Amino acid sequence: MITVVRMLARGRSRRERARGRLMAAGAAFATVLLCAAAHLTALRLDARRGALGVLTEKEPRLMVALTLALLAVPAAAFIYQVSRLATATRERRLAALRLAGATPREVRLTGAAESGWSALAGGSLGAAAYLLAALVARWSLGDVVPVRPLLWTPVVLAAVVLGGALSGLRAGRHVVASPLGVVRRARPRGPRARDLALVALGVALLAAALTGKGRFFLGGKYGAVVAIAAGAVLLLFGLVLATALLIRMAARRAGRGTSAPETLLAARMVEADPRAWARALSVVGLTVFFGSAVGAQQALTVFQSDLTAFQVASYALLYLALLTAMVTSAGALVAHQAEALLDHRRSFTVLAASGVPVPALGRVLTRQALVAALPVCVVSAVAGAGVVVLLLAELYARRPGALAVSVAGAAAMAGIGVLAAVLVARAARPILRRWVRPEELRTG
Amino acid sequence: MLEARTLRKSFGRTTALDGASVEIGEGEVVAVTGPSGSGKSTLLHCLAGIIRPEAGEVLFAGRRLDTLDEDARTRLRRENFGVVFQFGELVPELTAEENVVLPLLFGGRGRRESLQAARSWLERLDVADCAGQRPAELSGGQLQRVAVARALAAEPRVIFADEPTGALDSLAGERVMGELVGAARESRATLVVVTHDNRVAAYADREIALRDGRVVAGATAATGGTAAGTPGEAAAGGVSR
Ligand SMILES: Nc1ncnc2c1ncn2[C@@H]1O[C@H](COP(=O)(O)OP(=O)(O)OP(=O)(O)O)[C@@H](O)[C@H]1O
Ligand SMILES: [Mg+2]
Repeated sequence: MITVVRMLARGRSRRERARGRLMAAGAAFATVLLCAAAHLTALRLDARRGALGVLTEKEPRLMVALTLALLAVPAAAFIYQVSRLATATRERRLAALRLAGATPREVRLTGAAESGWSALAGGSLGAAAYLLAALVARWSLGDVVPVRPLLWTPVVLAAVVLGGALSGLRAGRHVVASPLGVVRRARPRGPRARDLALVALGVALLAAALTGKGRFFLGGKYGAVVAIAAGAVLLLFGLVLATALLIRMAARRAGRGTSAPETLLAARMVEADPRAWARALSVVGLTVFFGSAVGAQQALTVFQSDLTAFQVASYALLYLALLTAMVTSAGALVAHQAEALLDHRRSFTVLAASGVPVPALGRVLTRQALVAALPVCVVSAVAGAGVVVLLLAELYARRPGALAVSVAGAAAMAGIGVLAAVLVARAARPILRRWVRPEELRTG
Repeated sequence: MLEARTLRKSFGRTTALDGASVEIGEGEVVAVTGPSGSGKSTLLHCLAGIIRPEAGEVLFAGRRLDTLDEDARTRLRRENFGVVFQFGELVPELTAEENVVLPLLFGGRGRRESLQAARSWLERLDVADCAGQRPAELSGGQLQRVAVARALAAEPRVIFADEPTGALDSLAGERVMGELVGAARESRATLVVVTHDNRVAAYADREIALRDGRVVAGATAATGGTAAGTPGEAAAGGVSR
């Protein structure tokens, strides 16, 4: 097995090696975030005040930990996105292995081993960096920073490596289906309505916990916190899955009535593979969701003149988290754009050869981004702001201006999300120009 | 109508075209034949303005085509040329009908008008039943007929086809070829077909034979005649400077 992996690793193209490195980076990032989250929940709150002002109050501490853990979701999505890069060359390589007599299981394991290895390399680096940072913190802050949570580091690392291996297992499944060397991508299965069940479950959990006035029928106060956290996470994952459904619906609509050829082509391309777009946009959607929620929550405080230093600091932290998530989203979008370009290169080249100007093909790219990103961002923004407004309805009723502010904030977040997707698509235009050369079209 | 003068084109060290000259009249149906690697595809791509020759001239309707920039050539292709590729090369995400509609829309026609044109072409080529299907669900012959419909729907003045039946069995190939030639003649379009197949060449008014990047027979209508003209004779008068 190890020999096989090593043999295959030698055949990797430059793009594939880049993917390995990107994956390692994502794994390092996720490890650091998750470790920090585990650690923050265990900070000794009452040990000392001042130095760690923000982090020693119990509620914000939990919130920060949750924010960090949720940031790991984008990091995970990023890893998954990256693991799909350069699939064509990788599939050819794996298919060659199949021809040489490897069983489907062996091929799948090879894929898992490859990405697991990248995750291990990156994760170890992240864990080491984190341990170092934690020790420095301990040394400078004393026993505010407990040592025990450091024991969690190997667990986090194991989870990250497992995640990487699993994504590799899944990434290799197309090859597995074709025993001949011909790599033919299986038609991607459409999203299922079942994915929506997760959203419903998440909403139900949240509602049950929140209406119980801080108590839950299981475990009382502690149970309520767990239920809220679990509900939020379920809701988010469900949303990611439901995103594919939403994107496909929006694309179908967009393609139906249009007389613009760019829109028709863009809509059909998005409709044919909504899952890839959902994967890439899930991170954007999450960011928009959180951004809108934070904005809605802050809308209540903008009219307040007595903001405490603590509030300001925690908001700053939240915005930092949002910024990080946005950058991660952009990374996932870039990875997806590269993949999409590779997938459609042949079609675009043929179209260019038959007289479609390359700028029009560039518009197809931006319209794809628009068709996919617009519904995702709008729904995320409405959901994010809506949840907060509903939860704090009483406070909102007392401050009429706050609603307008939170709506504006949500609109701005949705705008930023769509803009990010469109900008990434625009940035791909020069690549398109370089790649789509009719003169390179070999027809026989 | 379409004229190439002493075209030269090389890829690295291989010379694909080595002084090839041809003249094709309006409404003519010509077959380009020759052994593999003789430069047939390269000649076709030069004539269609897809690639630029290193030396020589390509004229379409009296206008130099090879000196135009990429944008102008793209516009020219869209307005005047239709191309049928060996493997159809339909956009996999679009239905058969949408594949035919797309170039019409890019050409600036309205949606309804384009749809109508697409349907009538699909009907003429006997693939109206497949209108709503995607390329992956079509057979090779159906695929190729949809591709022919796509090339013809915009009513181009010249149709280029590079081994349009190369991927089909002889029966399906003959049907597609018959339809392509019939449709071209009916709309008085010029048709340039690259082929290995002698039977395909028999559909043509004239056969242009290539060898090692040179035209060895049928360079002009006067010297070529139908596929009967002997290579020696044609080569003598054909390679004009
Ligand atoms: N893009 C390219 N890059 C490198 N070499 C090329 C390219 N296109 C053509 N050639 C070379 O130029 C020569 C002529 O190629 P061309 O495709 O025109 O031949 P052909 O007559 O169409 O052959 P076939 O019947 O096999 O399709 C060949 O030797 C080929 O290898
Ligand atoms: Mg050829």
